[in-house]
Amino acid sequence: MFRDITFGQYYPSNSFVHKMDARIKLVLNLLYLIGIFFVVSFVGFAWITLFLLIAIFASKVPLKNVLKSVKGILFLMLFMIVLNVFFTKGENLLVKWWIFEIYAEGLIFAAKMFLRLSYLVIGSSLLTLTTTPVDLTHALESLLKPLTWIKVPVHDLALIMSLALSLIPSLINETDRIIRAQKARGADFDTGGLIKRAKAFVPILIPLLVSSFRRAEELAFAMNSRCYEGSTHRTCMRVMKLSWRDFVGTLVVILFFAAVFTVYATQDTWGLSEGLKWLYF
Amino acid sequence: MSIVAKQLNFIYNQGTPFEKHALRDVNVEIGDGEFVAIVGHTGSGKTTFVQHLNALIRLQSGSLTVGDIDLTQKKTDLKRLRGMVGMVFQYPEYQLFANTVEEDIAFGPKNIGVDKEKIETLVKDSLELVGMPLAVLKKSPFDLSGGEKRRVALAGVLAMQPKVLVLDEPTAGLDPNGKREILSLVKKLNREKGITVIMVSHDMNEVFENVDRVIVFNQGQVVHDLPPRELFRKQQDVEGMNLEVPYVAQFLNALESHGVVLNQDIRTVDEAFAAVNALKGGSK
Repeated sequence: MFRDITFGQYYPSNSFVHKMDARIKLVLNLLYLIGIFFVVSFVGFAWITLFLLIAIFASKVPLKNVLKSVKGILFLMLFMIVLNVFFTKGENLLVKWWIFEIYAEGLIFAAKMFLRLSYLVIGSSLLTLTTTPVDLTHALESLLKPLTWIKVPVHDLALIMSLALSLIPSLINETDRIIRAQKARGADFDTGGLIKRAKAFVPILIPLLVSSFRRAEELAFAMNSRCYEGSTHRTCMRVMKLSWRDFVGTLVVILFFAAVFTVYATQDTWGLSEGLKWLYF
Repeated sequence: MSIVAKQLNFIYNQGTPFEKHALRDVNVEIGDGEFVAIVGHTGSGKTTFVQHLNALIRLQSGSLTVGDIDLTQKKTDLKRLRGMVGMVFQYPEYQLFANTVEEDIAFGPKNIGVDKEKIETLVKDSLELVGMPLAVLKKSPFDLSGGEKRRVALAGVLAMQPKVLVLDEPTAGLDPNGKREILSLVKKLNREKGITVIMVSHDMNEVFENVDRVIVFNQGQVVHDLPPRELFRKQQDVEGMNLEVPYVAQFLNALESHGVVLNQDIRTVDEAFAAVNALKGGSK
């Protein structure tokens, strides 16, 4: 049941992107997420598509797995498209039926919104598909280190995050097991009305809560008994090092987005004919 | 209630890097009223196999019938099947959820559509069966001790009146006393109520002492299907699969290698002691 969660699941491989430093990947991903908002035209989206395809190719993650992440926000997407198509008012009326009016501007806006959202999700899932949660936490801790100067407990936050992340798989397993156990007792999660279905989850949630408290307590005992003491200069087992891949990767991304920003900044100065304008803006 | 599995195959996460072939051409037949142990080290496919028996895992290929229910069919009467095959998972106490012990035990029978008055007697009967006083009925299951919780969980499965009982390591994490109690209860269910018992276990001593037949899984295949005495005669073979040989069996094997063959059905240290004593008395 829970085995097909892909959003953010690590895909083991030995590719160029996998071998890049997690810190660099995180920063580049941030750059990408910001950069995507400066892409306003369909031509721009075509370029981003090319960029993403190169990145996916370099990561050796099957396209299918990457695209699966979009499936998770499909409902949100549909909702947004419907809203935009029906409620955006513009100049070029395409269809008018009863109280519904569809404008060309609405369609274009919805399409761009769709692309932007899916590219946001694809980009960030590419990060989590190629980086283990542990590496990500280390990267975050390392990047946030300057904040310790203003007394932000970065190490503790990172620890909380890595503990939470490491508990997720075992909680998923636990949930899976409890669901099986209750199913074996004839529990039915798939039929009945909304209230009946919501009620059907009580026999799963309560044992799950109980066991996560137990787990947390055991973990705390285990850490205490090994004299864990917060941030007193702990060292890492795996020290993160930059390699040539990180420089190449950074260069590619920066060049790409420098181009995006330049195009964005200079778009007003292009002398485009009115007929083609919708493609660009 | 017999179980017939033919050419069962099962692959987890087919077509992904996490692919795992968990069952390979498994053929097993278990008759009515048998007491069978399924053994094998971690990842040998035994849990996958037993979960097929009440359709927690659906067939991928091969055929499986449980009693008169054919699991090869797309539409199976799951409620009837799950009422027929009771499954007790590892650490069943972790599945308790209700406010009172009574509610928790009633959960199973209620789900399979038993009527109210009958549930009440079923709850009481099964609680008695597992040897718990009726006074706990109104208590919260979370206030009980570990061993008591497990017995309540077991009662929750027994209340569904299963014809087949599948137990996944029923004694894991219990003290010797608790182990003995659970095992004698299971034995009683098998002998007196005629319930077919399939027990997954890692404790070979426990297996040797209690069951009539041992099915050994190794890398998804059934490699042995023998009475315990015959199985553990193959000492090297068994150890080669990372399974221990029970103490009593080791002792009997050692005796046999010295030419002393005890013909009785010996399962426990006491029985071995008596048999050897009788031997001594005879030869004197």
